[in-house]
Amino acid sequence: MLIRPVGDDFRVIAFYLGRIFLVIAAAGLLPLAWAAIAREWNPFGSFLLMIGLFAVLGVAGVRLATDESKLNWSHGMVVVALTWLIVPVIGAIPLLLSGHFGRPLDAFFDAVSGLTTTGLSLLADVDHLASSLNFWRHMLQFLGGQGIILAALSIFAGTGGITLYFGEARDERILPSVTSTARFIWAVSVVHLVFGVTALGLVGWLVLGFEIDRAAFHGLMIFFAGFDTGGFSPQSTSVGYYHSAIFEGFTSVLMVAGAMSFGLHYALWRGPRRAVFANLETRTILSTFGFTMALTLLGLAATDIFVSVAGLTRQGFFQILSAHTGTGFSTVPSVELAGWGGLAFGGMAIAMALGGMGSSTAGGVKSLRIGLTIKTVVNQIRQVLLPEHAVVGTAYHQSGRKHLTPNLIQSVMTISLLYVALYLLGAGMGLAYGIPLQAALFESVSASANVGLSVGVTDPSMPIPLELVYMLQMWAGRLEFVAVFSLLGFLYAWARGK
Amino acid sequence: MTKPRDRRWLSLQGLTGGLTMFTIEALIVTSLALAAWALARLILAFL
Repeated sequence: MLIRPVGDDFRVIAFYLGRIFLVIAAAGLLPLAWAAIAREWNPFGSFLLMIGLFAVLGVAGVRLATDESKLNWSHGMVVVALTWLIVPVIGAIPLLLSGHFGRPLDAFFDAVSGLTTTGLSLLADVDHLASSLNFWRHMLQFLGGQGIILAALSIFAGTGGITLYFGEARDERILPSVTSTARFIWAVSVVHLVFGVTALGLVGWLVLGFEIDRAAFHGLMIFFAGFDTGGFSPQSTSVGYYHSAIFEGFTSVLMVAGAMSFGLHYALWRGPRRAVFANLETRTILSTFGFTMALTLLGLAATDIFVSVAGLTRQGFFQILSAHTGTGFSTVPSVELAGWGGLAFGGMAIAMALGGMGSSTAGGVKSLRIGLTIKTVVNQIRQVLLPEHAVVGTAYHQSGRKHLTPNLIQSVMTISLLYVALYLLGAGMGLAYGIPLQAALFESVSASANVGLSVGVTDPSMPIPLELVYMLQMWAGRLEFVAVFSLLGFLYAWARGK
Repeated sequence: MTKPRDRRWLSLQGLTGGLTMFTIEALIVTSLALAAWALARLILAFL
């Protein structure tokens, strides 16, 4: 029997949403201070409005609570799904009031794209956007990226959800509590913030000739968007604006770090480091990266777009790394990217669809699921080829020795198929609006896998239904369906339950 | 009360671990870039 949620369920959800809103309100003080220092008074006013709304909703939510300890896995999922819906609505206010968007929905689109760490943008004339607003949109990516890892490792990992979320039946935690987990996530972020911003800032200052404050600003923005695999950039030409191989190199380190799982960061920090390369997930992502890079380089070489080894390596490597990590930075314009047909297109689309590692900020199917799918297929083939009574090994290495189980295989296949369906949904919608198949598929995969690379379909003049579908794809892809289904189930139980 | 284990990140050992992590990530990117360069060279040689 379907049990209808009662008042206490709503109060618990409101309490945790309220706490999150208060955190976002506090985070909003940073762009507010930035606007004050930069004397950008129009954004200052809109940040005040946004912070006020978050604070009022936050206080109201917290005051509704009766007992905060009652949060169960289902509540947690609903809180996560609603957070990634409501925060962009209010977070879009400063963007909307900036006058850089033609339609209110476009500002919401950018906020959804920011919080889901996608990076697609409908912002017109980003090169003349107030610096505090640029700071806010990049910070949204940081908040969304850090938030999703924390959600993945705390709420998603609570009880039965972990099987569906990770596609892996593990119930141990690397660190004993959510608090220690959160502390380590922040420690990893701070290390990358210090090294990343310092390196990028120094390159900007010493190599590119920026003034020191401008170099630091660009370093910070690229850190926010790179480490959280977001893909926003302070200039309309993305990382191509800097025309610097060394800048691209340091950006690549941040992109790779962002696409690494929390467990891998932990192993690299604390050891044993060699065990990292024994993991199925690591081996899978290295293999798929090599495969998609070969496809892309072969495709580019065949079309004579890049004729020198240096040019082919630099452009091909950066774009495929950006696609596979789900970041979305580019060093070539959308128009040029749209001309990458054949194998290069295939390589990029596959890399985006596969995505990075689990419990990272990267989107897509995720390499562990790909590795487990390949292992399942290989085992099935071996089962057919070997004698009837032969036993096919089911063990694999992922932070220790594990075994493939029917439940695990079912979970992996379910999530993978849902991603394929999501990719096809946006592609079909694009086709319905007369967009060529290649471009429709590329943009749809980019939105669903939270990548942000574009071949020009995402544009302020795009049809509203297509814009709505892309937003749905970004949201569902970011939450890996589980939280979305939980929210839908909760609403259904509320409407039809007894 | 904060346990000693929780403060480990702030110790010298913790900071060295963070630096090692960042260095390994930079080495991974360098290795991947070198692999891409070798592949690009091979492809252009044959096409």
